[in-house]
Amino acid sequence: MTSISSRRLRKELSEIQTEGCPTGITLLNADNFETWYFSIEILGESLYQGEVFKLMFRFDSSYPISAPAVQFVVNQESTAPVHPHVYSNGHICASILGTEWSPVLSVSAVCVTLQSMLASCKSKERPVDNDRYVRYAPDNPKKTRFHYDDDTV
Amino acid sequence: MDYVEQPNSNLICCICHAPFTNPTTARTCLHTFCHDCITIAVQHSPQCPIDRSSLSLDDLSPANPIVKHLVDELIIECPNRVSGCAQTFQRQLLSTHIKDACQYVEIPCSEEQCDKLILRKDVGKHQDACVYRSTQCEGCGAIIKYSDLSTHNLECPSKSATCSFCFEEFPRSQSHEHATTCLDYEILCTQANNGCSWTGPRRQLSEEHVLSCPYEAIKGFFSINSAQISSLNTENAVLRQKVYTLESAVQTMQRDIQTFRNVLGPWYRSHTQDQTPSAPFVPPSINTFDHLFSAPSGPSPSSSRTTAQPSSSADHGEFATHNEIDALAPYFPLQHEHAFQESHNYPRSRRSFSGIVDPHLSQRTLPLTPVAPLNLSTSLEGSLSGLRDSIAAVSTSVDSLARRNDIALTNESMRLNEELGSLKYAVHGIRLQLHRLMMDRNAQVTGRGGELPLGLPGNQTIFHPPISMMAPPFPGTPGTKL
Repeated sequence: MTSISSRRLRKELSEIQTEGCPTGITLLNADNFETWYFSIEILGESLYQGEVFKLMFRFDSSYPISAPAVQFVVNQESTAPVHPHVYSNGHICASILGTEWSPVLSVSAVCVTLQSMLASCKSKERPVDNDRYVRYAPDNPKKTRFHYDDDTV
Repeated sequence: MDYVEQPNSNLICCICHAPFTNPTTARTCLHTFCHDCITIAVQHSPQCPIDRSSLSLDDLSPANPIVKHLVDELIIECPNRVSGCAQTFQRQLLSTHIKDACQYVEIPCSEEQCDKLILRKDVGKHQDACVYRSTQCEGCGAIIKYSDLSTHNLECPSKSATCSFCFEEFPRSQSHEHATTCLDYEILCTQANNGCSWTGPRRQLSEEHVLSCPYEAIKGFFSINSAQISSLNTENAVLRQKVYTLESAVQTMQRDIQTFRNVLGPWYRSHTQDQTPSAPFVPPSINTFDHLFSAPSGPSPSSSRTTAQPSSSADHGEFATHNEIDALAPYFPLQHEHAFQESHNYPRSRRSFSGIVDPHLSQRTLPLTPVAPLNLSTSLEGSLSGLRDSIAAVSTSVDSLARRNDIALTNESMRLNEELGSLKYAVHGIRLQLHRLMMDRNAQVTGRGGELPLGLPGNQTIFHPPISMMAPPFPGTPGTKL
């Protein structure tokens, strides 16, 4: 139902605009109810100090019943963070973006979760199967069936 | 839906992030959502969105009424606020407000033909401006659609009209009167129905045209002529009526004649074919007929004369009537043709009986059939009476023949009786002689004594026939026994 998804997104957008984003997260672009962009940086002690990444949210009409497609933007200006759960094409292996998604979650909740995922990282390295995945990965990360095996990071 | 105050966060559905609509509670985990939101979410993934405990559609039930009342009584702003409605009211009254009260709802115009949507507050204004509204013509007072007003003005009788000839203005209702009086109005010549092709303004007719019109000069002739024509017309109508009556009478007669012809059969003929040949030849034909039976029948010659006369008189009668009918011959084309065919057939057969061929033919046929052929040359009545006469002659001759036969038979039987009596006597004499001979022989036999093995008294009975045997006149039977 398009109306549900757009009503919910309008609500979230007005909340973001009135109350502001969580610290370290900035709304870059939300011109429509299909694609939103955020910048994300990790404050405090972390491996990613001083680095700023760009997140892309893509919503379909089934949002918030099903999860949005979330990935880091990879182009000339920005890259994906080097992280065991983030592929070099920007795709993120996180359970809350797949099977663990709940309609209760929101855009800002996803941002905060990713922020903490990066902050808790112990070593900056790519996933083990990064090259193989990147070669065959679909454009939309929601079409990938990730195997969530690491709960620690 | 915009709420006047920020609703309590406990009343917010965490799926749509808005106050509950039809709040529904999960019986298992007691979380509350909008009915639509949780239904879709559970259909997508059968677990509670908040605590991920398993959940099915059967576990959902309406929330506590208190929750429902809390959300229903939240004050909201009218959805038409953008259009200008500043009203606020409880959320449960929204539908009533939209339906009846909100001035910024678009509703269709009450005029059927008008398909415009108007804000409720503008309805009154629109009713005065709608092109389909009913309005009253100022001139004639008729109620008409506003959109039809301009067409109505062109034909409204109260509006003024301009004469296209004299350019004078007057109410349209008087246009007919004006047309009869306007001096510039183009009219036809008064003699137009007599053939004058002049047209022109009325003022010119009396001033110029009448003086020069050739038809006007012979006006008197036209009136006399038309009177004559009309009287001829009426006469013609009367005549036409008469002709019609006559035609129907003729048709009736035609049918009657056809019926008569069918009834009469071969005796029917028109006068032209039988008048000349039949009159001279009727007597000879009857004479030959009489000649056959002349010997036995006495009254036949007289009857032939009586039949010949009425037939000829009937022919004369026919002749008279046929002459009259002949005048109407063109009305009987079909019958005439038919009669012609008949006249072609009948005279030939008649001539064969009564013309030159007649004696030759009758000689040849007479030995074979001693009955005269039917005479078709007379009238039906004549033929019938001739037949009756010949039947009478036949019966008379049959009568006399029977009487003579009787006498001859009686004579013959008397003669036979006499002959029979003499024979009987002769036989009797022979029998007596024979009896005496037998008696002699018997006496010889009995005189010799027991020579016969059968010396029985019964012998006598054998040689003495019983008296009853003697009675028949033909004594053949005892004789053969011997």
